Amino acid sequence: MTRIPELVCPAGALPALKAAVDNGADAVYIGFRDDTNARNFPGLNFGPDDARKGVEYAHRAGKKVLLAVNTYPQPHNWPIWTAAVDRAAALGLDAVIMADPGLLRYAASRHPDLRLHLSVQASATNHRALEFYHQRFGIRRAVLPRVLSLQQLWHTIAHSPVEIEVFGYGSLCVMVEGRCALSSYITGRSPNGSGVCSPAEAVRWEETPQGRQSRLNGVLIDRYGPGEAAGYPTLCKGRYHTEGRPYYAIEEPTSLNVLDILPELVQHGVAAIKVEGRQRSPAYVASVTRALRTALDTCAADPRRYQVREEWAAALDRLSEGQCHTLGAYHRPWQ
Amino acid sequence: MNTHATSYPPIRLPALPSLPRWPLFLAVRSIPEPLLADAAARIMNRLLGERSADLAPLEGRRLSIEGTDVGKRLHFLVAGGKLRRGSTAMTDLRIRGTLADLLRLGLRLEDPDTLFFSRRLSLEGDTVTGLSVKNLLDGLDLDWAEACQRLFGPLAGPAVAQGLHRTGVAALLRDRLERILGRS
Ligand code: SF4
Repeated sequence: MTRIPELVCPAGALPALKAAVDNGADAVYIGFRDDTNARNFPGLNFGPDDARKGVEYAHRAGKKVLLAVNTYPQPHNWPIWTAAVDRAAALGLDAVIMADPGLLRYAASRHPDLRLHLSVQASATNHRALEFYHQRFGIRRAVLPRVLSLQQLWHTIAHSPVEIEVFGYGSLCVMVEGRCALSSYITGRSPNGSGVCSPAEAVRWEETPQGRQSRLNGVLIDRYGPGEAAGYPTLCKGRYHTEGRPYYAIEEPTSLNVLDILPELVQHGVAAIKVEGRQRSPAYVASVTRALRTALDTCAADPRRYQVREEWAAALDRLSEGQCHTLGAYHRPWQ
Repeated sequence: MNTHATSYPPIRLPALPSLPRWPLFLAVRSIPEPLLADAAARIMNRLLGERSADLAPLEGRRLSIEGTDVGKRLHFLVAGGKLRRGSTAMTDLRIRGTLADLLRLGLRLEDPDTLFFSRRLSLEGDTVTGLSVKNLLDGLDLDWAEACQRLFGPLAGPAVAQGLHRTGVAALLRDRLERILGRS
């Protein structure tokens, strides 16, 4: 019998973690309240007390909690990152999601029983890279960047020594995650270094007579006319004057959604499906988790008769950036 | 087959017509702004309870919340670790939306990003303050278990909470609230 992928859902705080567990997540991933993870936003994430409560809540329901320690430490702040790993081991977290090889080595040697997952921030896109991380640090699972086509994904899974987790729903990041330097260009900060690609202090929203405008460090990213759906103020989703007209030259504000290809993901042995959005609310986590849980269970019951139900798609689209969805790189026949 | 417990058991609610919204609107319209602001601040401080440390990043910040359809603008200030009624002078963050959408936001019935992306909510001013407010709301653990513990004591509390959870009272309450606010 084919194995049903684990549903891995995001939580930026305790209520979202509970929403994920209550609505059918198999695992919830969280981050500590500092720059050791790629969603370092003001007021978001787990302090020590909340982390303990969260682990208790999930474990009581038989679910897992994974911790993202997936940014890259610098020499001067190295102890903050190793402390996060030590705390993860002490709290009994089910796995730590990491990217930095130095930190992976630290975890593997200091906490041999701690399960390690390779973060999407490590940007490993082929099975040889995964082999390396597996041999050196004993990683058990890798999260692949949202840049592979389905053919590339099947090939990687077939040759991978470790479980493969893919993104199933959420805002898109178009670059090979972990290698994006676009934001450093405007703000001097990047996801890998600071855990954030559009830091809040650089973002400015303005309501003007022409519509809502978003600026990143003073640079106009987009202007939305009345009634037009807005998106996150990231450089990659801005509208720029190219060939004389404003246009989404890099990427449109839209969300990835794999409902359409769920049976194929199951059939090819994807071990886990990840939902993006630790920065989103408990309401988002609850709806997305519920929709994907039902879809996965339906698919498990009879993959051949699986069909996307309108209510799942509608629930997911409503919460999407740009309020529409795409298969992203999964569907790029030319790749 | 993957089985799991869900917190929303399939209790079918009797079909009710949407409740009229105007009593709420009339009430909000007729109460003076300072009184509304005082009441809102008091409720928020009560909800925060022992988590009042979460307000620390907002210390000294001035917020204004505007109900566009009820013509009310409330001013707040975070001072001494508490939310208080503020003056009408400058604000660091201005939140605007219809009363129903603001309530959805406050009661956490709707995802704030969804309201913002779909242009039903507008946030202007200091983005750090905006994100802190949003994350403060999202982080409020309105916990049945803890509330029951307080009401029924440490022995009976958890059992009562479990029971409530199973009967789907939370879902029921949520559904009622959504009816009052009108489905979005
Ligand atoms: S700027 Fe865009 S592509 Fe780069 S990290 Fe941010 S979301 Fe990803």
